[in-house]
Amino acid sequence: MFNYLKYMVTVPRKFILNWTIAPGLYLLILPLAFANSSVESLLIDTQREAFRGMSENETMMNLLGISDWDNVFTLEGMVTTYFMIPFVPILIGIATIILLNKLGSKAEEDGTFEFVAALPMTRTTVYLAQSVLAVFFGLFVTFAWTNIMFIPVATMELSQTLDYGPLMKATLQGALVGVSFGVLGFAFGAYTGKSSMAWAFGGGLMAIEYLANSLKGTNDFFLWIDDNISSFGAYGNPYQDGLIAGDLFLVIAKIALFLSIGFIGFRNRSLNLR
Amino acid sequence: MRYKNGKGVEAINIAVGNGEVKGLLGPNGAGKSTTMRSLMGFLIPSVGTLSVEGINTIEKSVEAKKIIGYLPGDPQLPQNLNSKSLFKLGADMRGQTTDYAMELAEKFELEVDQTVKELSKGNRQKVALILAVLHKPKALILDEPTSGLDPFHQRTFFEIIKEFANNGAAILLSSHIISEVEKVADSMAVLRDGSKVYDETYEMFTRQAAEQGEDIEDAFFKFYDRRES
Repeated sequence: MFNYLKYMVTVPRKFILNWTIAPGLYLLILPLAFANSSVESLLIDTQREAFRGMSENETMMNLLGISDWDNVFTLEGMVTTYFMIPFVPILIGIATIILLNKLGSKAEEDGTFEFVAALPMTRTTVYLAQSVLAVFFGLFVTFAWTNIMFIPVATMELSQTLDYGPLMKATLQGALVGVSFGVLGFAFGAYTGKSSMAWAFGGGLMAIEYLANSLKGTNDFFLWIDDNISSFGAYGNPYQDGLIAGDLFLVIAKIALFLSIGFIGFRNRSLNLR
Repeated sequence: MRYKNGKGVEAINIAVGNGEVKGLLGPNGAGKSTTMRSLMGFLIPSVGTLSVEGINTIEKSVEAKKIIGYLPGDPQLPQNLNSKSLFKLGADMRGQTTDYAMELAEKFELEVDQTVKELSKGNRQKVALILAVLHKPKALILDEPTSGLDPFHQRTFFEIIKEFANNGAAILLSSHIISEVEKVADSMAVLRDGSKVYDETYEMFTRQAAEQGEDIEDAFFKFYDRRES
């Protein structure tokens, strides 16, 4: 299994490196803006201008994961609201589906998986290794982003600061939300051997839960989804409130359930080789 | 084994003895690749058993794959890895060294530092062939193994196959070209529309052809025609 894991990290290494470093570097702009008063005021004024009127529109606020309008003027608010929700989960969900498709269902379709399938490994080993990657890729990448972003916070004089511990808690909760969508995509790709199914289920659930999160103020059904089964809804405010066992359990239980469904399908089917 | 479109293979019983090279022939779509993929456990048969050296390839897939070397009909390899890395991976997964792979790479005049993306079709085929045999398997399942190889390296390939057969390996290789099988096979099975329609020693096939005053190729085509009528 270790050799296969090594293979799975080696083959898409450029993809993994790009996703690990590039967004982290882009996100440096957030803390760096608070190192210079003119950039800081520009950032805040731009947001105020761009989002004018949004403070009175709950749906628009929810679309960007903002529960409190004042949050958009603080470093903590920017990082822990619309960066962690919805951008991190959407990016992690998409990246996980792309990566696991490359190594799983898409690889079956294009034939590269035939080489892997001929190696002396059980289907269980293959699926287990892929599951490890599906879960830890999103976690690793998100922690890389926030840690890159934290470098100026820790080393420079900023007008506002962030606490490392709470930021990591928010990172974990935000990453797990994205992982839950990515894993569902991976699981259905593995269940069917079709990469389109990975997008249909993983992307589909992400879209439904994102909509439910955005429209929860307009409809009891969406509110129920957001409160009870949505990974977005489970995010809460981990930076201030810490990790909440019930929220963590919901997301982890969903990940475990999706992985189990994928395993049942992958173990008992013919490969979808071209 | 049936696909959703109703095509597939059925009631195929093929045995290959130790040291025997069996050619699996048939036109495109006859079921050669499906048979081979079923043998590898990639496709799960609705009925029947598949075994290599007495090991059921579905139930004990790891044990079976340790002693089987498999070459896909259209080998697709990760584009950004070089041959050396692929050989190392294949060898590591089987607890072997890459010594034999490097020896074969030299025989095939293969540049092992080039990535798969940089290789020609023929050279990619060589990489896939080496990956299939680097652990010196007891059984070889080769789907159209000479596809893309130039005549010189086809000869090298046939020498390797003969060496494996002399060492007692059971070899099943598919082709749709009778002259290719002629060079190396002891016996041949013919598939058509998912069923086995002929399974004899190559010697018997040539004798039957001679009795009818036909060359090998004509006899092979006639054999197909006869079943059609």
